[in-house]
Amino acid sequence: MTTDTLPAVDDVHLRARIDRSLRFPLLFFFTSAAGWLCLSSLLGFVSALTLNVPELFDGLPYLQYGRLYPIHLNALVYGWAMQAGFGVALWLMARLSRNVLRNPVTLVVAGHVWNLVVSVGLLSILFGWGTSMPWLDFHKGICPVLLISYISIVIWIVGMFASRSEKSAFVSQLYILASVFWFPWIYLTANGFIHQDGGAAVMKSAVNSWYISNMIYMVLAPIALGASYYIVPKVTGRPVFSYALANIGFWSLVLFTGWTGMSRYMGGPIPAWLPTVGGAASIFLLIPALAVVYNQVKTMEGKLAWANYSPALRFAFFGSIAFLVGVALNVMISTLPVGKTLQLTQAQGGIDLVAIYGFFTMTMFGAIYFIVPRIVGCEWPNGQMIRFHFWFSAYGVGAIAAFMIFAGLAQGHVIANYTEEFITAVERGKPYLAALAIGWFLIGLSNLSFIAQLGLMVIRRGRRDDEGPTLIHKKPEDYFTHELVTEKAAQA
Amino acid sequence: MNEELPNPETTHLDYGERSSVAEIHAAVQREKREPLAGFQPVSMVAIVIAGLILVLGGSYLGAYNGGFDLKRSYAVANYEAAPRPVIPGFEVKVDNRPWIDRWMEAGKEVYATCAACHQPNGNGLVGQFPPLAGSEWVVNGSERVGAIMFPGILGSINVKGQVYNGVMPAQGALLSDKQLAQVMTYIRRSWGNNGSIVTEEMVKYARDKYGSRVQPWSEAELLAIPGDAMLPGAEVDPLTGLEPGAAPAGS
Ligand code: HEC
Repeated sequence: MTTDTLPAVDDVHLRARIDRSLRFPLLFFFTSAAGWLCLSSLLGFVSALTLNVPELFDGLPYLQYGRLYPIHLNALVYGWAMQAGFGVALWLMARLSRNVLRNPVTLVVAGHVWNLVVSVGLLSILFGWGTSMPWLDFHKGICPVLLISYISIVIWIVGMFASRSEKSAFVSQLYILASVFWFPWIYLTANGFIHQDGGAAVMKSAVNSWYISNMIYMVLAPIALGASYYIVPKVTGRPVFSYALANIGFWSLVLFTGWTGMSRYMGGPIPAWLPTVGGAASIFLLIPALAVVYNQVKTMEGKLAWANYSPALRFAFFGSIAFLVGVALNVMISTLPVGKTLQLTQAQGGIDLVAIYGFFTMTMFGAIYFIVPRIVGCEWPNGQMIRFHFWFSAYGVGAIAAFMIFAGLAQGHVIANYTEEFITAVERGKPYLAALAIGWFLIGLSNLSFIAQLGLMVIRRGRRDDEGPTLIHKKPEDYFTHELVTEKAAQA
Repeated sequence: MNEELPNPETTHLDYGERSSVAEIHAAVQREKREPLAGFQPVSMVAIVIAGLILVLGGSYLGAYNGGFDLKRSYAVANYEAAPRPVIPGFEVKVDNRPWIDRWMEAGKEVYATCAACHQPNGNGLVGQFPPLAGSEWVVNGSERVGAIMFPGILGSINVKGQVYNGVMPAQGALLSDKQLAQVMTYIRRSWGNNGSIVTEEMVKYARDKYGSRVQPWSEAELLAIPGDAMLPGAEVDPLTGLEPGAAPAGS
C-alpha cells in the first residue's frame, strides 16, 4: 500500500493522514453509539414512566420495568459507552502513536459484529432470558461472543501502540491501554464466577457489584480521562500542567479500582471485610480524581473562559468535574456513615449515572465534537444546537442524579428499619421518581439534536465556510485565530 | 500550501474526499501540537492531601475490617442482630421435640413400605403376614431384625405361636442406612414394643455383615443368631441423638 511508504512530510500532514485512515471506523462507531444512546434515553424515559405508573403497560411483559430498565442500562453501557469509547480510544491512540490505521475495513466489520452481539443481548433481555445481574444482564451464551468481538476491536488499538514511532508514552495512551486490558479480565472473571454451577449466591451478587465498579472506574473512566488529558492541552495549547501528577493519578487509579465495588453489600451476608475494603478503596479513589481535576484546572489556568466557547473543552471540563463529584458521592454510598442508609436504594443508580453520564458520556461528547470535524473535513453545522445539547444533558443528568439521591434518602431509613414493610420504602421514593422521567426526557431531546448534527456531519453537510470552528457562543474576540497565528509564527 | 507533496493515499473506503492532502481541512491545520507534558513537580500540599486520604481510608479499613474473619458478616463493635422478622404465613417452625420423637416420626414414614403387609397397627394379617407388635423376633436383640432386613425370609416361621409360610422380601437394598435405622427403631418401640434404639452406625454394621447375602433366611438360620445379640454401636441419648456427654448440636 502506498500509505505505508509515504513519508511523514510534517506533523499536519501526518495528522490528516491518520484522521483520514480512521474516518470510516470512527464514523461507524460514533453513529451506532449515538443510535444506541437515543434508544437508551427513550427507554430510560419509558422505564421511569413505568416506575411512576406501574400499571401503564399491564399485560405486556415486554414493556415492564423489569425488562425495560436492564435494556436501557445495557444499551447505555455496551451500545453507547463502549462504542463511543472504541472510537475515541482508536483516534487518540492513532494520533498519539503517530500511526495510520492499516485495516479500516476489518475494524468496520468487527464493529458490525459488536453491534450484532449487543442487539442479540438486548433482545435476550426483552424476551426474558436475561440474567438479572445488573450490567451483566445478557443471556450467558452472549458473553464469549461479546468478549471475542471486544478483543477483535481493541487489538488494533494495542497494535497501533506497539508500533508507535515515539518511544515515550503520553498519559492518555497509558489510560487507554489500561482500559482495554482491564475489560477482558473483569468480564471473564465476573461471568465465570456468576455462571458457574453452584457457589454462594450472595457472593455472585458481590462479584457483580465489583464488576460494575470496575467497569465504571477502570474500563470507561480511563478512556474519558485519556480523552480529556488530550483535549484540554490541545485546545488550550498548553502542556499538561504536571506530568508527575498525571502519573500519580493514573497509577493510583489502577492500584485502587480493583478493590472497589463490594461495598454495595455492606452489612450483607458476606465476610465483613470485603465491603470494608471496597469502602476504603473508594476513599482512596479520591486521590486520582483530585489529581486529574487539579491538573486540568491548572492546565487551563487563565484560559478557563475558553470552556464557554469550545464545545470540546466545555464538555470535557464538565466531565472532569463530574468525575470528582461522582467519586465523592461514591465515597458516601460506599462507606458506613451515610452508606448504611443510602445503599440498596435508588441513590445507587443515581450515583452510577453521575459517573457514566455526567462524567464519561459528557467527556465522550466533547471528544466527538473535537474529532468528527477532523475526520470528515467540515465543521459542526450549528453552535446553538451544541449549546442546547450541553445544557439539556447537564440539567437532565443533574436532575436525575439529584432526585435519585433524594429518593434514596427518603427510602433508606425505611429499608434499614426491619419493622417497616418493603412497599413503604418503595412508596417513599415515588414522589421523586417523576423527576426521573423528566430528566430522561430532557436527555432524550438533547441527544436527538446530537444525532441530527452527527448525521449531517456523516453525510458531510457541515459548515464549509471560513468562519473557523463552530463555537458554542460567537466568540467575542478572536481567541482561536489569534492562537493559530502565534503558533504559526512560533513554528516558522 | 505544500503543493510539492507526493500524491496522497486514497483508501477504498473513501468517499467524496478531494484527492489531495494539500487541502487539509482547517480543523486539522489549526490544531496545536500534540500535547506535551509539563514538568511541574508535585507540590507539598498535594502530597499532604494524598496522605490524609490514605490515612482516612486506612483507618476506615482498620475500624471495620471485622478481623478479616471469613465467617463474620458484621464489622461494627457491639453489633446485635435484629430479631427475626415475623412475616405472616412464613413462620419458621423450629422443632424442639426430643430427638427420639423426630427419629420415630421419620421411622413411621419409612414404615409405610412395610405397612402394606404388616399393617399400620403392626398386627399383620392372620395366616398371611406375621405381626410385628409383640413379636419376639422384633423386640429382643437388634441383630436378628437387622439380619432380616437384608435378604428377607423364606419358608415357615413361628411368630407368637403361629406358623407363617410366606415370603418376606429383602428391604435393605431399597433403603438407606438412616431410613433402616429409623424404621427398625420404629418397629422396636411402637405398639407397646419396648426395644432399644437402632442407629445408623449399627445398620452400617448389619449391612457390612449381611448386605451381600442373596439367599433369604430360613427360620433355622435365624435362630442360629442369638436372640439377645445386639448390633454393635454406641448408644445414644434419646434427647439429643448424640452419644451421652457429647456437645449439643449446633455449637
Ligand atoms: C410383601 C409383604 C411384606 C413386606 C412389604 C414386609 N414384610 Fe416383613 N414379613 C412378611 C412375611 C410374609 C413375613 C413372614 C415370612 C415367612 O413367612 O417366611 C415377614 C416377616 C417379618 C419379620 C419377622 C417376623 C415378625 O413378624 O417379627 C420382621 C421383623 C419383618 N417381617 C419386618 C418387616 C419390615 C421392618 C418391613 C418394612 C421395611 C417388612 N417386614 C416388610 C411380609 C412382608
